[in-house]
Amino acid sequence: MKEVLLQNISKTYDGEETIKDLTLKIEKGEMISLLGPSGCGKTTTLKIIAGLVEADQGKIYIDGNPVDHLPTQKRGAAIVFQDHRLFPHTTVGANVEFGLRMQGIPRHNRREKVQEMLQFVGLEKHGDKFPGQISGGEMQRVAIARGLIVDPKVLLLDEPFSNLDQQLKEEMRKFIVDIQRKLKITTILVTHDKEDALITSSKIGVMFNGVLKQYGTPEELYEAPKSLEVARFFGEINEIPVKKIADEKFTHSLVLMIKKINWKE
Amino acid sequence: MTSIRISVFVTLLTLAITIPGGKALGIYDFPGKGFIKIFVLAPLILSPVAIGMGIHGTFIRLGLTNTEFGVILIHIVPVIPYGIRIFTNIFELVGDHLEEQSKVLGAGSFQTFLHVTLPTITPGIISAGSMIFIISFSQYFLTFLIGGGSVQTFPVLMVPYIQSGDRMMAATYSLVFIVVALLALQAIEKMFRLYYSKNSGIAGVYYTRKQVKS
Repeated sequence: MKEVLLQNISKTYDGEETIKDLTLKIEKGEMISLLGPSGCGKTTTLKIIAGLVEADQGKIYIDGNPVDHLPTQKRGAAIVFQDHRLFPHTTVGANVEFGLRMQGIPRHNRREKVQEMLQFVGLEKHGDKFPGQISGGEMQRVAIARGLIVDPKVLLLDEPFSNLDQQLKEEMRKFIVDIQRKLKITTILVTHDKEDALITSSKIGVMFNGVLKQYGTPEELYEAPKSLEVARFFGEINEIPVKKIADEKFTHSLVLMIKKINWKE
Repeated sequence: MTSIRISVFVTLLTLAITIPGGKALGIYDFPGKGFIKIFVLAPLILSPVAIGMGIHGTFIRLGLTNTEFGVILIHIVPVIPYGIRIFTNIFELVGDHLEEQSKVLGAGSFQTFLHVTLPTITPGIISAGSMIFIISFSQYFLTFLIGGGSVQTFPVLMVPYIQSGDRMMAATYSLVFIVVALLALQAIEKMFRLYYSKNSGIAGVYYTRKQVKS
């Protein structure tokens, strides 16, 4: 659908740089991940794209147009938060309906769309229940349906798998990948779990302390990490202290060569 | 009755002031926040009588004495701390998460307030509203001072009987006072619950349950 471009974004909170000079380009219809330990600025990045947080520096383009001065509600970037944030005072159906209602779409048109969307996420039986009466996985699906129904230009998922048990987690991963492929919606997934990122995304950006360390396909990151931090993040590695005698290319290939060797055997 | 009319207006006006005030103090960070948090409690620490005496002169100049409007204004003084306090706590608890979510889904600021913020703080509105109503309803001195005896509220009628030792009249009035206050409280609560259950079901119930959990 629409492409997203972040250019030299910086953000400082209380004198601490949360995001440093971040540049990121996401192709239309692509699903990417921002991966990194908690507190590395991933969620802040999402909020900056959606306009909930204003960046100190840098520019954001959605679909080729600068959106820096647009208020959140006009940017067309829907976030699905980690804690679902369903409106507790209304039913599941009304939660999904919310975005359409805000756009002033007449009631009977809304009804149909809501039913379609609930069917799409497999919750057509739960439309009249309240958020407190459904399970965690179902709440997650409601939150996603609620984001999708406004037909966002970009879908932002903030740690969608972190509150779920292992089995549900795998189900949800599949669910999200399926939806993304069906709708071809530009999606950014934020996670601290490398498995989530490797399974779901066509590209991964690894972030540490507000710096985007490397951005590439899962294969590139796994097989040719550009820094020690990235390599360590993707799994246990054997490190050998070396003295630099040749150019950088050489040391990199050395790291690669020794990565999978078990030294005790 | 004048009493109820005055107290209802006081309640509505105070809610209109303290909801935004409490939200600012509960959610946003700004310099001097700690000071303001204590400063708004001043009417609790300082006797309202002192404030009333001070403001009396100004009200005479503005021609607000002996009018209902003047009495409504002066009643707002002692109730503001309660309103601010309750809403600050509520907003600290609720946070702005749901509002963020609402904006992300394309709702403007006013829509967000109407459809998201207001329903979530309904329990707070009920408790703050009843508290404000009661305090305003039982205000004697300030009503007497600004109303000058021509604005006849319930306590203004009642106190002379108590003071002159007419036990029977005093007891009757007290009973009526309590009943009226209770009925008014019930009415406020019913009104809110009805309004929100119409649009959205069990507003308060779920909210309080969630509070306990977290």
